[in-house]
Amino acid sequence: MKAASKSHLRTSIKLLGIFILALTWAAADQFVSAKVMPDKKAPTPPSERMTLERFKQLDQEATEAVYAPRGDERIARCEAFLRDHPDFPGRSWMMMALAEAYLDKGTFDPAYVASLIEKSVDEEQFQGARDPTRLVSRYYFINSLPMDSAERLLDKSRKTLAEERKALATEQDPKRRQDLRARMSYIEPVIPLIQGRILLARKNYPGALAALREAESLGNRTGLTGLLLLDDQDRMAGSLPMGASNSDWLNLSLAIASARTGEAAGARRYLERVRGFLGPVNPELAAAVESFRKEMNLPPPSRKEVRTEPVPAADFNLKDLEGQSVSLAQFRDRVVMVMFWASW
Amino acid sequence: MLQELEKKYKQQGVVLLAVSIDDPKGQAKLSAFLKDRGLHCKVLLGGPDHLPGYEYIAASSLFLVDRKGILAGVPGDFYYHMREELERRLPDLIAGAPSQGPLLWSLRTAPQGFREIWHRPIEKAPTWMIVAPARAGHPSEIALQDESGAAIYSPSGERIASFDFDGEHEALAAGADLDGDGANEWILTGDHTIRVVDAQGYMYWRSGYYEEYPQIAGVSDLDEDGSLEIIVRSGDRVDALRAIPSRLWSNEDLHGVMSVAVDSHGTVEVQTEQGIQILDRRGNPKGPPRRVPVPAYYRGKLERFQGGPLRVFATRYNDSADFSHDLDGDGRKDLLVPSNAGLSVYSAEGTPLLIMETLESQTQLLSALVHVDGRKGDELVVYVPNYGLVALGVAPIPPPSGNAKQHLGPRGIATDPH
Repeated sequence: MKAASKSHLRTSIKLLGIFILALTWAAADQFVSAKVMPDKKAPTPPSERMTLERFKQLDQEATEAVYAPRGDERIARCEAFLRDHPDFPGRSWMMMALAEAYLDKGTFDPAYVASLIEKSVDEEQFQGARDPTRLVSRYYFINSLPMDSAERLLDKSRKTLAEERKALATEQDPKRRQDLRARMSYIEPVIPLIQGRILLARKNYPGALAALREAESLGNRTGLTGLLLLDDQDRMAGSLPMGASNSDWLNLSLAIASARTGEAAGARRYLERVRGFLGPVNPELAAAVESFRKEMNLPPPSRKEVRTEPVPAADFNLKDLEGQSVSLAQFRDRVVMVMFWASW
Repeated sequence: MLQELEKKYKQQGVVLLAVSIDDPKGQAKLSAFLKDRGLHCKVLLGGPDHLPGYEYIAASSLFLVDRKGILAGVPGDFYYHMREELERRLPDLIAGAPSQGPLLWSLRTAPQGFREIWHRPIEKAPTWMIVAPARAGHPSEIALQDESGAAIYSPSGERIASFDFDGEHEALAAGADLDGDGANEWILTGDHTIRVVDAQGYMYWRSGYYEEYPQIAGVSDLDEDGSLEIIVRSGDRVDALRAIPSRLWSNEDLHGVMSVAVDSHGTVEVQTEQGIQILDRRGNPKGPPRRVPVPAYYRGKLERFQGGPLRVFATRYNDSADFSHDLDGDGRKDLLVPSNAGLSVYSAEGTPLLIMETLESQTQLLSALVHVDGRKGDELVVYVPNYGLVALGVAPIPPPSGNAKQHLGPRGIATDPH
């Protein structure tokens, strides 16, 4: 919806522009600057003004800092850039890159990284809005970032949702109504889902269970928790788990909250609905499921693993850093670990 | 970490090859990067494209090869506990123990006797898959798409034909024998037009210009003349195009179209904010719209034996549920739901018939139910990275043929774990 309100804003700015243009035509320049822009500052001298050429340079510099070798070098260069360029329009993006660089390194001050993420949301003006709920679910739980900061981000999402509700009440265009409704039906259940996960992290289990149940009942209406089945009388006849990230986290969190509030049967039922944890798509989820199973003393789900007959590894022939050709076949009779990796 | 392991087991014949997937620009800086981090393993310049035989979806993907050159581990084996998993496997491999084949998938729920029927290695990883359903007299066909074109496979996994797309924005949208002559046609959608081609890519016709990206809602013989119409949605407009190119009807009176579904009887249902509106065979509204009590998007319906149909709704962006096939062979369509890392098939009653987990997310796109053999019911065809296109079902083992060697089957025959 941020995008929608932005496009509104753009429209109003455009209209304002046309209005100003009309005034310019109608009246003398002095009149316009006196009436429409009462506190016009003296223009910045060209030497201090940001030009597109300068912006291009800075953008290039920023990109190089963000893709500098991982670890301390990347961190130092991003920090220096942010310190030296308070007027760079892409600061929000750099702050996220810096936060990620710290998390990637593994040693960081959680409060500082959280403050970078929050500031990144506040300063966003260049590349489109960041969804605070996504940031919380992606970074906060796995890295144990401060939950106070997560709450503040969640409040921003609540505010946006309230604005969207207002906008929907007056919006007439069916297409824009659809966009608003789709966006709202996503964010409505996600807010209590994140709230529930925050409460779980804070060990407030009854509170978490209540928030997560609210997320479940809202998500059941929108299809976020699974494919929604309605019978002939429009009664809900079920919700088919589908292994999407939000529904999987919701079901796992519900399982944990149920277990901690003494509802073992509910815990098992919700755990059964978690789907997408085998693959690399969501390793954090997989790890969380595994540790919960261990804690609950639950056996791993009964599953039949299917493997291929042993197959030969495909041979390859690549140059090494010295320009020498190296093939896999050269290493016959050795055990080879072939690792694909990147320096970015 | 891998470097440490290499050091630890080096004397016993373990070697680490680090294939850089950096682009040439990044490769130029590799020496500095390695020095900076104190790395001195063998680095090979791979580049951003996948090496044939090594598919992965993320950097830091590990393949393990035993002393005989046999693949002993694929990235999926190492996603969570790479170090522990390696420490567990390396001693066996060092001792020369025969390698287990890589894990392909696991089944949490499956019909009794559910197993691999055939498997075909695919050279270029596909990005999309569709199926032309079986019709009386001829079987289903499978079409795989990659960046540049499509390849058509028979229900027994033989590659029949292939063709290139006309421009990079084209995609496979549907396959069907539109004119009823026994050969399937393939419908491709582009930014503003649709094209109908044969298996060799020969173009029969191209539609007129669509303002918004045309989506194929389904194919159905709406005028009952024996050939199929294509139901196209473009924004708020819904068209039915005849196989022999002409327009059967076009409905431009709808406002705020959310979704269009065509059921197995050929009923066209259009969801707007007012509810689900049935269109008759001439494209006109039939009765009042049926109000939808939830803010979700209509995807289709399941025909139960008792209690009337179940209507299925999803979020706006989740339109991957497939209603067109029957896994259990009970005569009613089942529901295939691809997920982040696997897929589920639900019966018309909504009970799980199959829950399959795979290691990669590609199954989101690349699974379908296909009628492979004479058995009642359809088989599952799924693309598994590092393995190929696989047909699974409860069909009997086909008699060995000349190319049986290519059809390496899994060692274990999967059965219902319950």
